[in-house]
Amino acid sequence: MQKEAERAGIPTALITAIPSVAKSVGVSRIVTGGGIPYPVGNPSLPRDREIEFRKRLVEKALEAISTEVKEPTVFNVSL
Amino acid sequence: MRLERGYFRIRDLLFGAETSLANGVLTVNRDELTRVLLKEDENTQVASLTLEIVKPGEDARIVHVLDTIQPGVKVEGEGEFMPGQLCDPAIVGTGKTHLFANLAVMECAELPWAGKSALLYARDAIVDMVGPAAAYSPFSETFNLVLRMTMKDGASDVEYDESVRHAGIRCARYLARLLKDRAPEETECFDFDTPVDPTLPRVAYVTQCQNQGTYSNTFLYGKDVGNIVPVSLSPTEVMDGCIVSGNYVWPCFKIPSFLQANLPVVMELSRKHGRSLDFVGVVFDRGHNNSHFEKQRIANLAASQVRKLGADGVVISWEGGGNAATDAMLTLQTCEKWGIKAVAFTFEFGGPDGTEGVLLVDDVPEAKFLVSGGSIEKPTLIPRVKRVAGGDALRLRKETGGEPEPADIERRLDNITPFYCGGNQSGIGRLAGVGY
Amino acid sequence: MRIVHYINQFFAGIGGEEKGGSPLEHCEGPKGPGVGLLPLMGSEAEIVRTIWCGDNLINQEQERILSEIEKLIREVKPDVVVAGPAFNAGRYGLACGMVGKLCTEKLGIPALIGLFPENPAVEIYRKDAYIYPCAETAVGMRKDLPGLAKLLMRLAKNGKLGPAAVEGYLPRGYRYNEIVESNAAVRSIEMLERRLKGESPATEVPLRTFEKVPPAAPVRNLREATVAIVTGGGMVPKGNPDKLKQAFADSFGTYSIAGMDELPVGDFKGIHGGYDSTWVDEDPDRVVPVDVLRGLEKEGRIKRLLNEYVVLCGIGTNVAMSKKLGADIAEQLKRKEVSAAIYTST
Repeated sequence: MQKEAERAGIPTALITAIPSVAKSVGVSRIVTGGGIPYPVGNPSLPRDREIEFRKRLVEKALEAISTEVKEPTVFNVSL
Repeated sequence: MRLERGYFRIRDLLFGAETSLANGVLTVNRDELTRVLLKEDENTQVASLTLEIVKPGEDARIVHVLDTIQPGVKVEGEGEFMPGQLCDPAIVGTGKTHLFANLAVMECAELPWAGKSALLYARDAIVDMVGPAAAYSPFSETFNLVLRMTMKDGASDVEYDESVRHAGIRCARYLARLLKDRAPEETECFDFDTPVDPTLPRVAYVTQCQNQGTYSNTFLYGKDVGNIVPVSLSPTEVMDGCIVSGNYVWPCFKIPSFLQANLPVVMELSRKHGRSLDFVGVVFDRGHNNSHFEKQRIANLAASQVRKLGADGVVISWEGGGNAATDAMLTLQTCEKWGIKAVAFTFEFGGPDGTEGVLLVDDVPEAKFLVSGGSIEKPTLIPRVKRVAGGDALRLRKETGGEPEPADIERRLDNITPFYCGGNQSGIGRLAGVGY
Repeated sequence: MRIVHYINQFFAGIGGEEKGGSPLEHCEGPKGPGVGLLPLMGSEAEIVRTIWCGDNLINQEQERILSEIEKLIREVKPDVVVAGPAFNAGRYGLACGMVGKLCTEKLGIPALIGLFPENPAVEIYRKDAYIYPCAETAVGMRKDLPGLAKLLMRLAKNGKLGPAAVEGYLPRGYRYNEIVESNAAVRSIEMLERRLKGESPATEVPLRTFEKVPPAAPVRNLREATVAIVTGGGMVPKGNPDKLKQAFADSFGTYSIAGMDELPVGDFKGIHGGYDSTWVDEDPDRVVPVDVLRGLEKEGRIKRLLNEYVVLCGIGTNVAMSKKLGADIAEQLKRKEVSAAIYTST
């Protein structure tokens, strides 16, 4: 799905818990997410810390979208 | 460990005045067994229980299938068949065990769907005894004693899950008692004590189960394996039923208890043990780990168990769809990296003629030796049948309301997901994707 | 068995590269490699006509030349057409492919082509005619002809061939479920035992290959950007109004988040059949991060969060459908003048 958006000229970033699959499929900008059932979150954190984590993930995704990449690249955020 | 398995094949299954086994005919006292099962239901969640018989070749369909159990009993050696299930978790795998080879106890019930997580609910599972879908499940060839159950409202998933499983296990044990003092028609002996020819290649088997919460769990010695770290088991422990299934979420992606105690890879490797290879052990773990890090961790730990067993080669298989494939592929990759030759078998996608997109959800470059379990993306036209057991209606498509539909009519199903064991994840099926 | 053979200017004895423009010609009976092929096929076989054309000419004037070839083949009513072997020759390979495709698509005559497996024509014409794998150069001609002949005879007799692995042609990509002799467990052990002996048995399932799409240019200035959310995580308004499927998606939903500072719990639910939706039902922003993006919008870090998000359940969707849905979604995003999108998957 995402590659079609890129083909149409819209830069995208994927937040996913399994960057290896995204990389092998050829997604260009990948952010390692929280977990499969909560890609933009982490329920083991206290609520306000989880929102802080979510913010960092989304900001990293926006950073990725603003970055020139040549091939599938994984961007990571610390917990 | 040394185990002798004694097999009993029946040629008919009937209801009658007294539960007995004579001349290959198993007669069941329906009222007595029903009473026993309802009385022993300690959660009292079973509202009604009706026993039904479905025979191989019958023009019949079975629906709402949850777990399927093989009646077996240990006559010598520590522990009980299916240890930890309503009995002590004693370590099994030695002595003698008697088993019905072609009789299966099937738990069938419509477990409540309302308010459930989008993954964790029992999707309707179908076994067709005749017709094109019969080949999707090994239970079209067994005599099936179906426990058709309805459940009371208002209880929790954990309680429903336990109720149906305990009913199935108690029923299986009630029948297996008949085998205790009998001489089996056929026996097989497995000896993993005596050392074998040291020049034989050493082979292990990794069986990766599903365990994502109630209704999708697998039990090892009586407890679900949520946080399990890969463990090595003796083949005979596995044959004595130390792995029991409580996995009802995706009909095609499951290995019911009957097959867990008769895993074809375990049986075949055990039969070749000491002859053409040295079967060094089974590594058991779970997939569907929630992050790449956790998947890699479990994969490495599983591969590490394989290495500790001294394996030169390993067969790998898994229960579950794409999410689980990743964990298994990573396990394969680590094994190959360490010089352990790996072969895995898997279901495929590919669409109706194989040309639609990719065949596998995930793979690694090292997965160069794969065996096909068949594609689950083939449409199947199932015929009208004379009789439906286990329930009256089919519940398909929960996400759009899950309305009940007639279960006996002819119907075209777009893919194989509603068929019990259709994904061939134990490897017992001979359906394969063939390239043209 | 009536056979028509297609070859090129070189194998017809006219000349090499420099004669690539030589015209379409034919003769009755075998010519060039056909002379070697015929005796390998038994007495019933007859090469009724050999057709050849310059490799450059047929590639440059495909339509005209192919319609001429069509006439030449129809005239002699063959049971089967063979083209090549073209080994690894690029333009000759393409010519053979074109002729093969013409036969199966327009003439209803089965066709067999001889190509080196890495000839670029293989990927293009794999589905259109049976391809017999040959050596890389004509040095392999003697070795390849007997196998080619045998397969050609089978194709002529039966009109089609059995499984690729059994018959020996390159798999065309079709795969059907069949009941085979032994189960997957037994076959896996056999495959492993052969590997342990040092052999390299053929895999039953080829690995995936994916099209490379170059990444779109990055956003220059986030402060000017309209950002949209697209999710494969199946988070939909309660009741799933558009009846999206929990797996094998064939449609997507677009739902308004206008005026929302977060996705309200309870009004949205996860319906994806492949992960436990408990956590996202508790907090839908864990898969559709409206809260954070709205906050960034308010801070001015992005210009605008698009007032709707797109959703489907990403499980089991095959690549062809994913591409179609992806393209439709991309078109919708473009219409709404979206500068960038964040995708989430489970």
